[in-house]
Amino acid sequence: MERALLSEVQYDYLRHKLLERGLNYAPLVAEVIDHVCSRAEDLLAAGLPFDQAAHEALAGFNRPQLEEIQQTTFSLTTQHKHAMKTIRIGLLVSYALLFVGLFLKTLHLPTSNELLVLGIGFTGLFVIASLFFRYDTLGAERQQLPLTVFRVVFSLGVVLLSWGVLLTFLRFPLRYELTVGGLVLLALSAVLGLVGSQGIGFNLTSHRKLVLYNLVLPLGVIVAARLVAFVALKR
Amino acid sequence: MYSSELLKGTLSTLILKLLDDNGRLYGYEITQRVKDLTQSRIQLTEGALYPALHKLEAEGLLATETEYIGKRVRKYYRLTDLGKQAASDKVAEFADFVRTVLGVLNPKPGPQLGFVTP
Repeated sequence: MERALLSEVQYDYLRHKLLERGLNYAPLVAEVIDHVCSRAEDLLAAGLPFDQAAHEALAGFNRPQLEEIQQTTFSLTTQHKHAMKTIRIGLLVSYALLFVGLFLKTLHLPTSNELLVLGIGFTGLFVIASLFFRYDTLGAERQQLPLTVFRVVFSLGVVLLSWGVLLTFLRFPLRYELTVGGLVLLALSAVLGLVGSQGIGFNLTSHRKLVLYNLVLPLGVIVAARLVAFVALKR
Repeated sequence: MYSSELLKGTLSTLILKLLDDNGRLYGYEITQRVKDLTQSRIQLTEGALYPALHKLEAEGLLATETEYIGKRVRKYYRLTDLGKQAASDKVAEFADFVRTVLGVLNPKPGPQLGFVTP
C-alpha cells in the first residue's frame, strides 16, 4: 500500500515533540524522527486522524524510553563502555574501602581513618565521572551548557552533602562546612532546575543513580559495617 | 508475543538475515517486515532495534546510506561483505542451535537396556 507523506507542518510537529522529549543524540536523531513519521503515515493511511496517529506514533518514545535508547546505543557503540566498566569497578572498590575503614574504626584499629578518607574521596570522584560518560554530555547533537552546569552543581551538592553526613557520623572535622555547602549547592541546583526546566530538560530520574551511589549506598555500607563490627565486638 | 529473553539472543541474526534477503532496509521497515513475517508474534521494540543496528554498524557488519524525503532524512542499512559472511554463519549457527534444543525438548527414545536375569 502506497502511503501518503506527512505534510511539512505535521513533520515539524512530530520532530518538535521528539526533541522536546530529549532526542538529542546525533547518530539517532534522523532515524528516530523518520521512524515516528513512518509510523504516523501508516496510521493515517489506516484512517486515523492526525492527532490520534501522532499520539500513537509517539507512544514508544517518551522521555525515559528515548533516554534508554540513546544511552544504550551510546554505550554499545563507543569506547566509553570500557570507561563505564572501570567506573563501576572503581565504585565497588570505594565501597569496599568504606566498609573496611568503618569496620576497623569501630574496633579502634589503626589505618581506619586513611581507608575512610580514601573510600569517601574515590566514591565522589567515580560518581561524578559516571555522570559525564553519558550520551547527552559527550554525544549530544548540540552541547547543552545549562544541562552541564546543572549537573555539576547538583553532583557537587550530593557529594558534599553525603560526605558531610558521613563525617558527622564519624565526628570528623569539616563536617558542618561540607553539609551546609552540599545543602546550598542542592538548593542552587533546584533553582536552576526550576528556572530552566524547559531549557535543560531537568529530569531527576536520570540522576537517581547519582543519589543511589553517593548517598543511599554509602549510608547502607556504613550501617552494614557498624553492624558487622558490633557483632564482632560482642563475640 | 515471545519473551524479550528469547528475542535478545536472536535479534542480530534476524536483522542480518532480513538485510541479506532484502538488500537494504530502514529501521521502521525492519520492524514491519518482522511483524509481517511472524504474523505479529514477534514485534521488535525501538529500544532493542536501534542500539542493535548501531552496534552491528560499529562492528563493520552493516553500512548505511541516507536519502532525503523532503526535509526528512532516511537511513538505510545494508550488509557489508563481512556482514554477508556473518549473516550466513549466524543463520547456520542458529538453525543448529534450534535442532540441538529440540533434541533436548523432544528426546528420541534410545535403545532399551534390558536386565538379564541369571
